[in-house]
Amino acid sequence: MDDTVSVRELVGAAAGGDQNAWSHLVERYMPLVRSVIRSYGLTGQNAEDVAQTLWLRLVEHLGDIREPRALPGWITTTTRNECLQLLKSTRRTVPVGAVVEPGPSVPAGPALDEALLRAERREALLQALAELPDHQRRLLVLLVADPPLSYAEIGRRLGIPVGSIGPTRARALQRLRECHTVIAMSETRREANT
Amino acid sequence: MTLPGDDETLLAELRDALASAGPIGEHALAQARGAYAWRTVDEDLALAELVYDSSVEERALVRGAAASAVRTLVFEGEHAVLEVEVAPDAVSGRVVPASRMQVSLDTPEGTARTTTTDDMGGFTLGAPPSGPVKLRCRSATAHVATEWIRL
Repeated sequence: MDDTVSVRELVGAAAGGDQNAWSHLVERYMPLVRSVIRSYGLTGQNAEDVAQTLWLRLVEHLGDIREPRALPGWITTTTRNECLQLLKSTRRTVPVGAVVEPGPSVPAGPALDEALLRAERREALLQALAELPDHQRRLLVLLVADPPLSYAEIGRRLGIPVGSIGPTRARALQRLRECHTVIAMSETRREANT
Repeated sequence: MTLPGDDETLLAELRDALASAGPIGEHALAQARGAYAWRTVDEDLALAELVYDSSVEERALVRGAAASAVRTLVFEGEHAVLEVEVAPDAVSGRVVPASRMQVSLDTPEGTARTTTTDDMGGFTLGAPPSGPVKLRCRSATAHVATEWIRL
């Protein structure tokens, strides 16, 4: 598949029956989905159940997504709703009268506001990352790998000369800022319209 | 909300964002890719719309109030309405208008359970599985399927 193919083209191709395009969408948006899920403190089987529900729903809605710009927002909102639903049904199975201690992932007051803001900021960044051309996105992911990788190793994994990593990195980060700005603007418009 | 202009600071923020997603295993990716196999299953069918969910109503009314043990869902399809009650030990429901239909519960791996409705349109399907499911009612003339939902 063409390296610079856009999310818009991927959504169209996936809606038309292209499994490869779907797999690319999964690769691009999985970090966003997982980040949202973990921000609710969900892990293990619960996290998998929410993620799988999200992907199945998206398959079903591919045909209705007329404006691919709306995709990252749709993914984020749907995942959040599923997390809330799961947390609620977990509470439902706790015997009446049992005291449920909030976990460390559920702070209160100003700490909660701050945690929410941090989560939103991370999600906006992962939304922007998903829109980058594959070669830029993959390079950034390897550049922030834990444990860190040497430029030689990154060059080997991506099949690119070490000398091209610096310039590509700079262009990728610039593109990341641009995508982020566009997403932030469309978010503001969406909120203003509702 | 703007991103840092400095490349190193931006990379550090990206590192933090990707770390927040945790490790993403091949199993999770394969499962997500596999969801695509369902794309054409209900292609020609208008899915029944979830028009009522007691757990959403409860959440809207009183934040943090004790939730009831049974969740009620209502799906509105083209040919019939599907009322579903989810208790910890059983998924039961009713098709309106009452008619003889075959009811099935699909999981991502395929159809997990089937039953038929009684004279009143009622059915019971055993304990709810933890993952996403799709409920389906079929007769010679009607077909109602819900969207994917965790019960």
